[in-house]
Amino acid sequence: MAMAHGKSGSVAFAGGGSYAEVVSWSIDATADVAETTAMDATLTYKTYLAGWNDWTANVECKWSATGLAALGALAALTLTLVNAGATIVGNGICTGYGVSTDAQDVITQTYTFQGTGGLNL
Amino acid sequence: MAMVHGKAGNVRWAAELGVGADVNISHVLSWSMDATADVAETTAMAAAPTYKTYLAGWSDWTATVECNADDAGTEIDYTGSLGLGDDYSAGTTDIELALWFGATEAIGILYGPAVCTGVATSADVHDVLKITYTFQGKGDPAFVTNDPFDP
Repeated sequence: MAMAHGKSGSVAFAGGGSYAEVVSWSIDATADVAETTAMDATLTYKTYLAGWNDWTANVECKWSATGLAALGALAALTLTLVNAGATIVGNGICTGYGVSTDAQDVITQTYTFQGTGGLNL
Repeated sequence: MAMVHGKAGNVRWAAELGVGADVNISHVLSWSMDATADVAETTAMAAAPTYKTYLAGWSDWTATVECNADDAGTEIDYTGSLGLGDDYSAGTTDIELALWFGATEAIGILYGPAVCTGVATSADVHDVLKITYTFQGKGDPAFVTNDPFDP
């Protein structure tokens, strides 16, 4: 399979916000583990069982319209890798919205999401 | 809608609807506003699901404004009306922070009731004096395209 450049990706969140000028997005999925290591005559490495999975996502955009309404909303978050290509979809809660301005640069806004439930690729 | 450069932004600090004197913060270098939503985990034992689940809780917001210091001193005073820690509110009137995206109200303004929780001044032999103001929101912020202090 071929590699993919991020330049044609996109973001959509059904709970509101403006994602017209996305600069970057990232999603991190993790799995908890519970250690099962016990005294053993021969084993030398720790052992574990997998527990719950979890995921969070971050989106950074150039500001073009307010995204304040997204804060606290629970809805489908769709992250598209390349235009008309594969997507990562899951229900998320928007847990963070930030706007940052600087006299030397374009205004930016950022969103953070806490996943609730599974992810689908 | 178009992107916006930050060079024409502005910050105003005033009691709503003209109560007291407005503070138009001078020499702003940058401002930022961060809103967050708490979540409460609802994950419970289940035969099939593998991902944690949550419900949204309380939201919160803070803001930071960085400036070159004016030679008259800090524009948000350490005491008194509209000063550090002033939690003035009477009826529906609060002290509000208005963060302007550009030179005109039509470009957009983030504003809301707040308390100034920090006035930090720093001096360096090689640079202009700096002041950083920090604010704690005390109610819902809003995005508007009309001046909240001159509707």
